[in-house]
Amino acid sequence: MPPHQIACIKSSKSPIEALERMIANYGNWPEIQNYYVQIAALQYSTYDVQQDSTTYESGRTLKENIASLFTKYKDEEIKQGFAEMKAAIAQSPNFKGVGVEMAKLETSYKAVQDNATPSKNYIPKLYWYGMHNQFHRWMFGDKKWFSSEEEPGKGSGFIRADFGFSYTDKRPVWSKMKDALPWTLLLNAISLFLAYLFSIPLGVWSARRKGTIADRITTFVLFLMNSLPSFWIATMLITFLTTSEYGMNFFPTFGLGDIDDEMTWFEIAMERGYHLILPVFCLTYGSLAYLSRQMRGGLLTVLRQDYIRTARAKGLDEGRVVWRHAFRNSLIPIITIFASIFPAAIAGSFIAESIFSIPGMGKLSLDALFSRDYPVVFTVMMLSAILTMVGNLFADIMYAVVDPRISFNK
Amino acid sequence: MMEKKLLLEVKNLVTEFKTDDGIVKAVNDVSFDLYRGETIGIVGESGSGKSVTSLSAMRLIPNPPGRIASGQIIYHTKDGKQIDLVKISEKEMQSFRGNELAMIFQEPMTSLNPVFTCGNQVMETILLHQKVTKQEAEKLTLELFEKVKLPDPKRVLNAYPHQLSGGQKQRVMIAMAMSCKPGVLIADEPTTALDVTVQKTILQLMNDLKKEIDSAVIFITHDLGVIAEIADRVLVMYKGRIVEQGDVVSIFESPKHPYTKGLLACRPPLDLRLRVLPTVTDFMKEENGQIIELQSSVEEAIKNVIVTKEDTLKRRAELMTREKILQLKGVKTYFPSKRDFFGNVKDYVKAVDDVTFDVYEGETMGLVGESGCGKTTLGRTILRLAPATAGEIIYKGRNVLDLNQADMLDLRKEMQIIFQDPYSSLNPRMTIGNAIMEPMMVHGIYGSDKERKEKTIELLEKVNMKPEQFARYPHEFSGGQRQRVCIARALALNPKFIICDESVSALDVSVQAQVLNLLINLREEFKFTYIFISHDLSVVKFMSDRMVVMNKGKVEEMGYADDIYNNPSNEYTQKLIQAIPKGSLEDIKRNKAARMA
Repeated sequence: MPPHQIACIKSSKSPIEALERMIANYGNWPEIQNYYVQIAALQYSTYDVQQDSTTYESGRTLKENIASLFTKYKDEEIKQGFAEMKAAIAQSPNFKGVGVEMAKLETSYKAVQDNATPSKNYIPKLYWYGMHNQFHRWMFGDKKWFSSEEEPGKGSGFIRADFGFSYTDKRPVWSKMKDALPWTLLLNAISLFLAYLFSIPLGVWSARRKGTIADRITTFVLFLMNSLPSFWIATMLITFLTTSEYGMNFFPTFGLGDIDDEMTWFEIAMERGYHLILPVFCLTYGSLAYLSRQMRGGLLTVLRQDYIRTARAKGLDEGRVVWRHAFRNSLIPIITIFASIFPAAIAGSFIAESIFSIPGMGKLSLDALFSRDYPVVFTVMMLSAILTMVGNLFADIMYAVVDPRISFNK
Repeated sequence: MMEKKLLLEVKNLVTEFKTDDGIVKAVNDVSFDLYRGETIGIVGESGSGKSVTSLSAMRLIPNPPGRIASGQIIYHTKDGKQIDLVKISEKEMQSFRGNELAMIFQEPMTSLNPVFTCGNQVMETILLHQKVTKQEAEKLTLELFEKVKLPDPKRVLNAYPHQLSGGQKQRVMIAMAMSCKPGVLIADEPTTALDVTVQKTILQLMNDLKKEIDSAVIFITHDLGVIAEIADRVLVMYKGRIVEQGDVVSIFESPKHPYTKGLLACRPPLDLRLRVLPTVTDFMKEENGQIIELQSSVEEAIKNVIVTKEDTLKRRAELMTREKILQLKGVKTYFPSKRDFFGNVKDYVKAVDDVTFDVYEGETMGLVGESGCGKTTLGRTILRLAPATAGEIIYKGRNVLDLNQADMLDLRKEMQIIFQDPYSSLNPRMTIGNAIMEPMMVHGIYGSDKERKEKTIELLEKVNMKPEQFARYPHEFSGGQRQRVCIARALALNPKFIICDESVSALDVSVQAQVLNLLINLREEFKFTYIFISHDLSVVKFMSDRMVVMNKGKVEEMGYADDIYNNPSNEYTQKLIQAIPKGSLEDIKRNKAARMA
């Protein structure tokens, strides 16, 4: 093996590392880029060389040296390479064209060294591309506004109700959501309805029995429910209640059941309902516990107020004191919670939907996240952001409905 | 003498509360009778069991922790039946509440449900106890609103409580209580939260309505002055027991129990100038549950502390020779009340409107007026806690309004404020010792924490608290004690100038006297200058050398406190003075005669 090859192997690094070290040393990207382009040009020029006996040995040396430049970053090694290459070029008149490129390469390397600005590596540089970015495209689109002209390959953006195309299967995002949304809506509507249906009477019931054994047991159970993670409960339910392994094969394991054309609407409802029992339970029990705790706390605060004593002094029975006079005053925290639950009703639940394989919005966005399907992720995120605002607006309006002291006319 | 018909008999009533320290008898063996057409006053300081007695009669004691342990409350119905309210079921009791026994509470602000209209709430009672249709109930409610002299009854019918003033809300409460023509009307401090002028009209109204529906009133208050205006008979309660009961004239003329004497003496008198107020502790002390009388005559106690005319004149002349410590020149504080769409102010509330006066060093300047007159805002403006719109506030030659932050910090050391509500002006999570030490730390006075602690303990002793209470938290103290802590906190920076903003208004009369005495003693010891703000003219008159009467942000009258009281030149001041319950014997006799007629 010739000695220069040994040297080459010794200092051989990966091309990427060599490039990174060059940048670290000199910090002037345009010049380094120019230098690398010149290496490539030099390499290219060797292909045009007329082959004869004079070029046989030196041509090989030349090509090896050029190729090894991509992995070199130390000044002396590069200089040594240059020297060897120039020596090889001198061997044959056929290398004339290569010599021209070689001179250019030396100039460009000198430029790298002369214009070295390693300090630039440590100064961040901000770039502003204006409206030419992907988020802007997703949001506003790149199609002309107010024109019916066909512009193939361009979208009209989120705010013009164009959600783009999925990266994974090239389907329009909107069509994917149209398939997923009904399941999520159904699931969450049932769950929210049940949560509010049970939590409010339960909260009122335990507030009226504050301090009794019944209240303490309820408090304990609800607290437990509130703190059990739903992924665990879901897994436990699937393990124990949906297989024959433990003798309790009561419920289907996943999915929403098979529907064929011959089923009546009642049979469809039964089939769907049967599949939805466990997911709905998993979605409901946590919010039920939380809501009834809030209801109990809110009602207890209100029951201490002076006007409740006034209501009792009127001779109202306890039921009317609670439901007529205290209930409405204690609704504010419940409304606030609704505002934060509302966006989730559309965005879906990651856990319940993926564990029970329900093709709803939660599963859609989780799958999209894993496969980096950004148009889908972006659309779901934007939708839940908007729904958060809608939920808050709804809550603000409800505050004014419930409490006449709150008014928006100021 | 008209024939007396028995209406309510309370016999040996005992009401207990379960607390962490065991069972406390809040009402201990209380017996009294109530006759139809009569008003009895129950008087005592907070915690004496007067409210619990009335709540027991309504069976509204919160259970747990409270319960009626023994005794009878016998109600005589119109058709001559006798019913023991303690024995009947909750269901039966509900038909009595609001119908035969009705109640008016202390806080009109919080006693009405904020989410229902006033009309709705009164109609509810009518519909509950009377067999009428909704339209009839509405008509009855309108009539009631007219009877309680609410302005524009139709508007009130559909108004929510927050749209009414305190006095109007109390009228709605009275209308609600009177709606079913109850036999017994229990009024628990119904006027304590109201201005004196409003109080006077409410008392008058209650008296008229009582006569009209031939019922009896149990009137609960800590203020004997109010009792003198309205009650025929008086029960004095102390620590859950009735210590004295009798005709209102005899109670005022010849009180027997030392506690009653103390209560009578501790009200700031209007016709005399006293150095300090006699307090309950001057008349009695307690040893092992036994009450020992220390002094027997109210007149004697007052005579000891009277300030003669000559002394008053001497003090006045001496004050006038001193420096003007504070000068107000055309001070205005406006708050924006209306804004247009862009946030530009369209209209103002003129809280303080062109106020000018001087305060001499060592003087006490009283600021008096009804709620909303701007007196509190003025106090806050002087300390720059509220922004002044115009004018000059010159303290020791420097305009407070021009000072920068650093200079203001210096000034804060010299000028302190004591707030109205001792319950909310102390941080509940900070020990009282730390609360007093905090301002010292903020201003970096005294070298070390050890020194500051010593100083704090000294201050605690100065305000008659015990050094070992240093590490206690505010909730462990009564209102009076808390207010004393607030005073100690204000003293922590060795101020020269103190603003007392309604500092005794939340306190019982007996506790109020102690705090006022403390303020006076501190004034003599440290040569303080006070601005004393209160809605209670008798308190302001007692405390101040000169006073300013404010109304709607403007100064109505200004001058020596005694002169203003004796010869009020201004119409508003006259109205204010007339409304004060004087509690003088002639008045009581005249009131009683008027009621009987």
